[in-house]
Amino acid sequence: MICLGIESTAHTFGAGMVEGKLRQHPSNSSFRIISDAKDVYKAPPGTGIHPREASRHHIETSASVIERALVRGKVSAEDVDFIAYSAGPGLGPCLRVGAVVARTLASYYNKPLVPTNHAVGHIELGKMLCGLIDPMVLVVSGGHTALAASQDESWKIFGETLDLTLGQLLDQLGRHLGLSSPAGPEIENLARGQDHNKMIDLPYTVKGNDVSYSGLLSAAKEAFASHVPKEDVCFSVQETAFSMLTEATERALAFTEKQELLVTGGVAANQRLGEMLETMCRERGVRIGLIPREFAGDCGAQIAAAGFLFFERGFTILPHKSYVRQSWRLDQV
Amino acid sequence: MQGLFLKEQNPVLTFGAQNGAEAVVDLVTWDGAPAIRKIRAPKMYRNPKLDQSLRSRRTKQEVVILHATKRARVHCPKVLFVDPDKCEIIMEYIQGTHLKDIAKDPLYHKISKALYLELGKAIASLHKSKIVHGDLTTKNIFLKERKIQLIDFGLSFFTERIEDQADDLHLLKQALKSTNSPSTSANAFSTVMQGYEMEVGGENVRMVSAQILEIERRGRYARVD
Repeated sequence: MICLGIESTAHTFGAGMVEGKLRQHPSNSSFRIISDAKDVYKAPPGTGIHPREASRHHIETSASVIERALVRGKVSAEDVDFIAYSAGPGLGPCLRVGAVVARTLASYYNKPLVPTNHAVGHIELGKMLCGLIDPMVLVVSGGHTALAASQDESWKIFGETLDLTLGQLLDQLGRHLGLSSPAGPEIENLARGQDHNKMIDLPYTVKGNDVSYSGLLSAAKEAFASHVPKEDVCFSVQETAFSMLTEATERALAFTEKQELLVTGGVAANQRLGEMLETMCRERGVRIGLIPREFAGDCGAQIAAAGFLFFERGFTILPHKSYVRQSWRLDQV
Repeated sequence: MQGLFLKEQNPVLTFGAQNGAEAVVDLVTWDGAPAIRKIRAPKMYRNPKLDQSLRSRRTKQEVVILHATKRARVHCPKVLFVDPDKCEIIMEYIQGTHLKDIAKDPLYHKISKALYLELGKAIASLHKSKIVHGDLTTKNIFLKERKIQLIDFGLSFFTERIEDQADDLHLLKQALKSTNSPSTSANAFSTVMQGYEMEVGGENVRMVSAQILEIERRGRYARVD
């Protein structure tokens, strides 16, 4: 069966197709990504994502992105078996674009329509690509910073940010430094190769398995205002923020005794974060799966992967009843 | 307290070195008695400068907090020896049953009410003494001789802020959720809050509860359905 997944929660409009067999028990061996296409809305430097502007971008690019996904996969729209879209969590105006596109395709081609959870998408695609069975999952993106693991057929949160997500921290710092959102990659570049002694003292806040980034952000802004070089600020923020998260992750692993860790979401593309988590996992003897860089960020393939999970469990919906939920938490799925 | 009877395990025989997230903990002999040695080993993933200062600071802090906890009449391990440079603490070994394991006991439902009331009172006593535990997961809560014992003050700090106290309770709420079914965890937590209220009074409990809701609303995607 082929699932076309449509992603539009935030800055990315994506379409991707996954082919696989429906399964009785979760096993990821029989899945493959046929194609994945996307177009990312870039906010003007020094500003964040404006939901209206992002949704306009999605409207303008949706047709060409979907066409690219179909052409690259050499699949016609008729061959698609069902259509999944990202129903949340995300920015309302952006979510609605994806929902409208998916609804339209589903009713025109008469295909089942499956609303899926965006975070489950990150997880399912990650499990598929990294070959993990029952991992502790660290989702790090603009929308999430959470440690989740499945228990009794639902997702439970074992730790999360108490305020900003890691993606928000990086984006807001980036905005302050005059970078464009998403600012993670540029901050990573600025921080790369910095001398370890350039580290400045920033608030390090771990509470149990939870982290808090708001104090760190304020302190970093102040440091920049008092003429600490941009590179040193980026370096110190990365070292501090990632150490906090690695510590929280280690605690959650110790608590749950899980033997696998999956790292997914946009910030999973950050090499320094990956390196720290790999070091920690090696010390603990835990198997780590870092999602490949190209699939770390939001993409259609993740929604197609989640689509299978939701479709298998019978979550289809009639187009006129389809919905979006801006605040759909992972542990409410 | 009559309700808090439960067969307690004797984990001395099964205790191996535990490579916790925060420190390596093992069982040693101190003055002829079993004791716990806790060493905060370096974390290779962390910047060395950040790592050393964090570990040393946390070791000293933990000792100070343990003393303050005793003064607050909350049960916790006695400190026997400290080396801040090696980030090492030797402390009394508490032989009791983890709350995590108690939750699996068939008699759990009979004692859970009394248990969570006592837990709420103990946390309230800490908070009244300006201490927050900082890591109230079910692994750090013990039952010994029918009394609640708290261990692992590695992330504790002094504070009077309602927000920090609410964080403390919010973490416990999450931990209870992860080890209980949804209905029993809600019950357990509301009983904890009843016990908490007995110690701090209605006004304080209202402020803390409001703050817990605020944390849930802020840190996570609140329901808007």
